[in-house]
Formats: sequence, C-alpha cells, structure tokens
Amino acid sequence: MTEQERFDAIVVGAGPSGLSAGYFLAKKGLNVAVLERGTEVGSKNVFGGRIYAHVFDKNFQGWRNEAPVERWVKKEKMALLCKSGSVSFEFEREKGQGSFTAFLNPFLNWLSSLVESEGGTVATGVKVDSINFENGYARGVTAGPDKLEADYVVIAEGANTLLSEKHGIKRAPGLDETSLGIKEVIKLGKDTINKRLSLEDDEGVAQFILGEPLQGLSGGGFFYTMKEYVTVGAVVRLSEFARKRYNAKDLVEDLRLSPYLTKVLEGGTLVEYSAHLVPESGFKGVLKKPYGNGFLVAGDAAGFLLNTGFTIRGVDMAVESGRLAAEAIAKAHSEGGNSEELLSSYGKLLDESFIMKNLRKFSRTADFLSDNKIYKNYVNLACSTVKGVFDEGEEAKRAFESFRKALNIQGISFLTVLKDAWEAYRSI
Amino acid sequence: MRIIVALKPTYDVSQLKFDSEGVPLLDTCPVTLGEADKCALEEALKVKGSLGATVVAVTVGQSEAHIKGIKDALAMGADEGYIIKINNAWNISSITVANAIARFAVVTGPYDIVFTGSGAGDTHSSIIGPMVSALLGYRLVANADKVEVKEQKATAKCTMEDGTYNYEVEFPAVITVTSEANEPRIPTLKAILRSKNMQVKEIGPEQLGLSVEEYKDIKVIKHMVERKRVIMEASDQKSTEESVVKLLTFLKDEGVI
Repeated sequence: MTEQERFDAIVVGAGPSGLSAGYFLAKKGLNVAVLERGTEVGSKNVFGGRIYAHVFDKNFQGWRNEAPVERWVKKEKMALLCKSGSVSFEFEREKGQGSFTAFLNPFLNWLSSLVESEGGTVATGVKVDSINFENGYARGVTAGPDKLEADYVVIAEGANTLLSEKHGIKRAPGLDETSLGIKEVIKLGKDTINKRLSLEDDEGVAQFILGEPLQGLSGGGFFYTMKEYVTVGAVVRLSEFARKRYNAKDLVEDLRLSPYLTKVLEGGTLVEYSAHLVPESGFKGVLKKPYGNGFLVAGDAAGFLLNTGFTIRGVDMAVESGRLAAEAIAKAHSEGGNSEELLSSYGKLLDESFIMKNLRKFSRTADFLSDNKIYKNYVNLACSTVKGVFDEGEEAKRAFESFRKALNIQGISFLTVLKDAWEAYRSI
Repeated sequence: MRIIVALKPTYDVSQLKFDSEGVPLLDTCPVTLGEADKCALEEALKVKGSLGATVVAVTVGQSEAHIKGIKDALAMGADEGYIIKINNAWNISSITVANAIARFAVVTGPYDIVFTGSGAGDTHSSIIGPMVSALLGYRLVANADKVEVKEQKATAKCTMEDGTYNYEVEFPAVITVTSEANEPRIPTLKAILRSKNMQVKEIGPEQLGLSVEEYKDIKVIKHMVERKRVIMEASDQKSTEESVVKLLTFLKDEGVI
C-alpha cells in the first residue's frame, strides 16, 4: 500500500468541525486527510450567518486579519411580530467585536487553506460510504471503489448523520429533535444596508424574530447583514412542518414579505435559497459517548449545537469540538494506540469545555422551546400589552391594566403566565 | 501518443440565476469547467486508457478558477496541467486565446491530437478549436458527438444542421467535442489524492512569444423584433370561416407559408 492510501487520521466532512480537526491534527504533525462530499468545502453547509469569535481568538493567531469576515455584529435586535403591529428590542454595543457575520463557504475555504498550509489534505467531491471496522476498531473509510486506511477516523458529517446511524453510533433523530433551517440571501448593496440600518461599513445586525409570519410554528426567524447582502430565514422543528402540513419554502417567503421586513428588503434581489437540518434536542440529544475504538464524533453530528432561546451557537462549538478531537487523537497517538480508552480524553476535554458547560446550563431549554404557546400566545400577549401602554385614547392606562386586558383578549389565565414564567426562568 | 486538452472555466450555467430585470447574477454563480470541455478531457482520457497517451491539460488564464479547473483535470486523470499566465483572461480576444494554445502546442509539442469543447459554456463562440487548427496547420473535426481514436487516425460522428456526417481524420488533428459525446468521469478518492501531489505548471506569455490583445470598448447591443399582434376575430361559424381565409391570406403575404 502506498503512502497516499494510509493516513494517521481521516476526517469525514469539511465543515467547521471537520476542518478544525484537520487543521489541529496537521498542526500536531499527523498525516491527515479531510474528505468532503460536496464539490467544494462548505457546499453542504447552511447557517444563518453569525459566528462567535472567542474560539478563533484563542486558537487561531492572526485570524482577524485573514478570515473572510463580512461584518462585526454591533446591533442585536429582537422582534415580536403580531397581526397589528410589532414589539422590538434593540441592544447596541459600543463596538462589535465578539461575533461576526460571514458566508460559510469562503470562511471554510479559509479554514481549508489553513489545513493545507499545515500539510494536511482536503479532498472534495468524495462521498464516504462507510467506515471500515476491523475487530471492532475503525480502521479507515470506503469511498466508492477506494479504501483508505487510518488509525483514527473523525466523524464530522454534520446534522444529517447517515454514517453514524449506519454504524450504530447514533440513532436517527426524531422529527421533534431536528429543525429545518431555511435561508434566503438577498442582495441589497452595501450603501443601502448601511443607510437603512444605520451602520458603518463593517458593522452588522443580528436579529431574532418571533411571531405572525411564522404561523405559530415552534421556531424563530433570523436576519443578518453581510457586506452587500442580507440573509433572512427561519429555524423550525421538522415535526411542526408535518403537523401543520406547511411548506418550508412558503415560510421564509412569508417572513420576507412581512410588513416588518419589506421596507428593509425593498429593491433587493433574491440570489440564493438554501435549507439544512439543525440538531435541536439540546443537552438530551448530545451523544453521550462521542468516541469509540478508533473513532470520534465532532460538531453537529455529535449534537453540539446550542439554542439559548434567543441565539443559536453552532460554528464555535463545532470548531472547538474539532480542536478537542485533534487533542485527544494526538494524545492517543503519542501513547501508541487508538482504543476507546485512550480516546476517552475527548469526553473529558468536552466536559470541561464551554461546549458541554453551555449545553448543561441550557439543558431544559430544548423542551421549553418546543412548546407552541410561547410562539403564538405570548407574542400576541406582548404586543397587546405594549399597545395598551402606549394607548393613544383619552384614558391613559397603567402597565398592569394593559397586561390584564391583554390576558383577557388572549384567554390566558394569570396563573398560567406565572407557571410559564417560572418555566422560562428555569429554562432560558 | 501525446494529447492536449484545452479547457476553459466558465459560469456554471445550470446554476445561473437572474434578477427580476432578467440580468444574470454572475457574482453568485459558481465557475467550473465547461461541460463540453469536460467531455473533451474525457475523450482524451479514454484514449489514454485504450491506446496509452500522455494527456496535457491547459487553460488560458491564472485566476483561482483557472487553477482549480486544471486541478480538477489532474484529478480526473490528466498527466500534466498548465495555466498560461494571462491576466483578465475572460476579457482577451478569442484570437489571443487560440494563439496561446497554438503556441503552447508548438513549444511543448509535438502533439497528435488537440481536444477541446465544441464551445464554452458562456460565450459558445465555437471558434477556438477551428482557429487553433488553422494556426497549427492541423486537420479539424468540429462538433463531434462521438469519437473513436485509433493508432494513426480518428473517426468522428458530427451532427450538423443538415444531417449527420462521419469523418475520418489523420493526425495531427484538432477535434472539438460536444457535451453529447460522453459522460465525463467523476474522480475517485485515490485519483483526487494522487492529483494533490501534482503541480499545476505555469507558463508565461513571453515564454510562448505571445502578445496579448484585450477586448476594447465592448458594446452589448440588444436586437428586439416588434411583435405584430395581428388578431383575426371569430365569434360564430361564418366569421370563423372568413377569419380563417383572412388569416391564410395574411400569412401568405408575410411569406410565412
């Protein structure tokens, strides 16, 4: 067997977690190949648009000058959209530097170039059909007619975990444990974006949307600004589409055409539509043991995605889990083995990392967010209450009075609100 | 046998989108090797498989897309890959492109066959192949739907407007291949990994003795034919018959029938 057909480690999937694993493995001097099914790295990825910077600050020296960042998020917005108005909330930082918007494709191309500059190989257009197991140990992969050997296999296949399911590493997630993210990219031009949203060239908006256009489905909408483009989309549980027999494509269109967004998007050109699965069972859905003899699982495939109720974090967790997988492999490699026991340091590293800390902290959130009523009743309740507070009639209303009246209109008892508020307090 | 395959990365027209005014959204359209060019490469690789040949892939231009195009060709199985280093390659005249390929063939040759796509995905001018054949003094078969290469000659089936032609051509020859000719292979994992260690070689216009001519002042002119919108009305049996006669007379006068 020639050298090209044997690697120390093979990574399946060139998304954020796979490329991160590839980069850190190559950096540690391991001979690594990252295999990607799409024709380009990132061509199978979809994400809303925001990446948290902390993980890059810590581990990628000089990245702020190299990575293709679109805009730094300066404004955080949240909007509750109702039939007859909307309530919105805006937080503006002095300076945006903690998270940024990006297009994943060029961003991953940058990561891929880092892997190759460290001597790793990134091969695209390669569909890995199976992991080769020998005597219970992962020993490489099969892609079409070709087999490659490796001591370690990192499964970074993303939310659609066909490979992990095939080998019994993970069960197929249920419809209520997976969401569908749908996204449109709209070209508006830099000047228009800056003007309409009061931004400077490198300042961006990240927005979270609930309410009317989402038809009461359990899920939220998002809006991000890129340099010349904006992205609009929604993340909704798959079970909801099934329950309501609702077409996913209509959803993002309804959102785009909602009065709240039409003004902002006016004159824009729709240039891209994409959709992707999002693992969303929170802490419960995380693989309990994301490693075994000769293999590790990273990123979305292991369920490392956090929905706090207001923001979704995925890319930073994926990159960190890839890095930790590389750490664990390097350690096992130096100890001269690939057994589950030697790779178990991955579990420990994850446990101590922000990934598991965050997922544990938000362990009740997934269940809370799957409850329908927060998406409809409470959005309307907020609108009615605020409408009352700003009532323009003769009689000025007290806040609590408006709230009581809104409760009546929505048919929600005060006790239910207290119960749900308590649940919210514990969950988000 | 030595074979050149001349390749051009172009907009992937199957993924091209348009805005509401009908203007193509080029900046979001992926760029890839043209379909017919890939088929030309596949024909060369078929010859390599059956008769044994050295396949040299070449493109005119030095952008990322050009480099990627040559890397893809190497992954599919080309033995060598070159980019001819010309800036702004999508904006140079066709004769410069043809000259570059012809000079490349002379400098790195001799070759038996020059394969190229019958037309590029974007402009589809179909003139590079014929120009290269004229510049090199090679025989030409254009728009081949089916090619069969033997030791000294090739046969090709070409579908033209007025029927199907079967040609036999001796080498050296330029053969342009349509996207009907074959199903280009998808590189296997091992082929991709092998190609990772292969170099995309660079050759400058000065090494080829080439002067580069850019297109100047391109004007896009739209030709629109005004619709005449002649309507013959008919409401009952009688008026229908009259209208039919009127319609036929009108069409005859217009020279349509």
